[in-house]
Amino acid sequence: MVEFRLPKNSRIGVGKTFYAPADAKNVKRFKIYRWNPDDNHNPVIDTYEIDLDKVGPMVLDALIYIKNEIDPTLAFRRSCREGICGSCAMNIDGHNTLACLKYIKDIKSDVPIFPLPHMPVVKDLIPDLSGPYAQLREIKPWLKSDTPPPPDSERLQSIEERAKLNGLYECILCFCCSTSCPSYWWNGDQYLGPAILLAAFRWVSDSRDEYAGERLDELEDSMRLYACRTIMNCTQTCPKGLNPAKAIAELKRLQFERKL
Amino acid sequence: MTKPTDRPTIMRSFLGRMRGLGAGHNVFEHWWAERLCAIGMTPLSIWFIIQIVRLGDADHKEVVKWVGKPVNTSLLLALMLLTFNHMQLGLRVISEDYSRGKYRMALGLLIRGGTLLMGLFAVLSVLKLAFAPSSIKE
Repeated sequence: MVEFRLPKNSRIGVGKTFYAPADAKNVKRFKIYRWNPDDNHNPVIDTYEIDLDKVGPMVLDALIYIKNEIDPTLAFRRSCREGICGSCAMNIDGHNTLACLKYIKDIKSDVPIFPLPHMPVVKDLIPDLSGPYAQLREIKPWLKSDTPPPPDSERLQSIEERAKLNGLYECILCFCCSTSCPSYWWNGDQYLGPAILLAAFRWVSDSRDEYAGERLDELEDSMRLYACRTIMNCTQTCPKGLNPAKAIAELKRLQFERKL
Repeated sequence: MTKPTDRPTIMRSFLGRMRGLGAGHNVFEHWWAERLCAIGMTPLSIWFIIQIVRLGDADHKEVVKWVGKPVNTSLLLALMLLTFNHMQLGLRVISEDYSRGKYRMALGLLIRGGTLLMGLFAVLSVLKLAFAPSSIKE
């Protein structure tokens, strides 16, 4: 259900400021969303002044610097620090992206950092992604085939068949796209969202999969697939440069094709 | 702070919640009809605007005469039917974003009823102009 104002206990206040040392020359201010489930306070924005001469080039480098050197209570997810695990997805300077792929120098003003929008917050920059993970299971993201594999080899694909998965298999499930989608904000428990629909299209497109029809059946729902309003925030924000909006359009095209 | 007396209101698994009651099916037709109406309305709307501008200085008699021509009557009726059907389909899609359960049902009925009545009114107005215009004073 659409909400035009944040609930009372989600409204954001002003937090602490951690000043840079006096001798710091290249200072940038990071304004970071903080919320702790263990105290009974509203979320606040803490300000950290960072000497950029002491940190690496990426926003994730600055976050790790803050956690190690300034404020160990800051909570965020990170793992590979090279854009392949999807853990450090967050809203930086108004865009959902991966902190490890976002250059600090690309942000001209202060650096505002929030958790992925419209997800329940576990702590600070950590969103609860149980909903999207369950939706991923819902579309059965694995090979479904009644033909047994050859006894002495793997299932083969032609070069052309394999090429159909390009632009689909690269998704790392960071959910930057789904959490940038207003339709997903409003009806995220019913609408599957761009990340999951891209995954669904990946399996519908796989030449080895034999359940495309059943997969399309499961998607034919006014909310699951058709709640996409072609807003295209998903494609604009994808840190991997993928095009979930096109995958959604292709799913609709396939549903059209089978009714011709 | 969570109190010891608090208890969760939802303990159902996320997978169960997300699967819900399953897919509703037969939605593609709604989506496709909305687009077909839009495609049909585009040339008809352009035609309609041009004609209305052209008839800007016309008196009642001339307008009645124009509507009474079979081509114009047919195109006007087609425009009305497509417009109000598109309106019905589109408003239902918008209402789905903002409503749940019985509210979605009630809004859906209101939209269907309202657009049906408006469409009927528009179609009857065109038919009346074409076949039984009010007496015109010479």
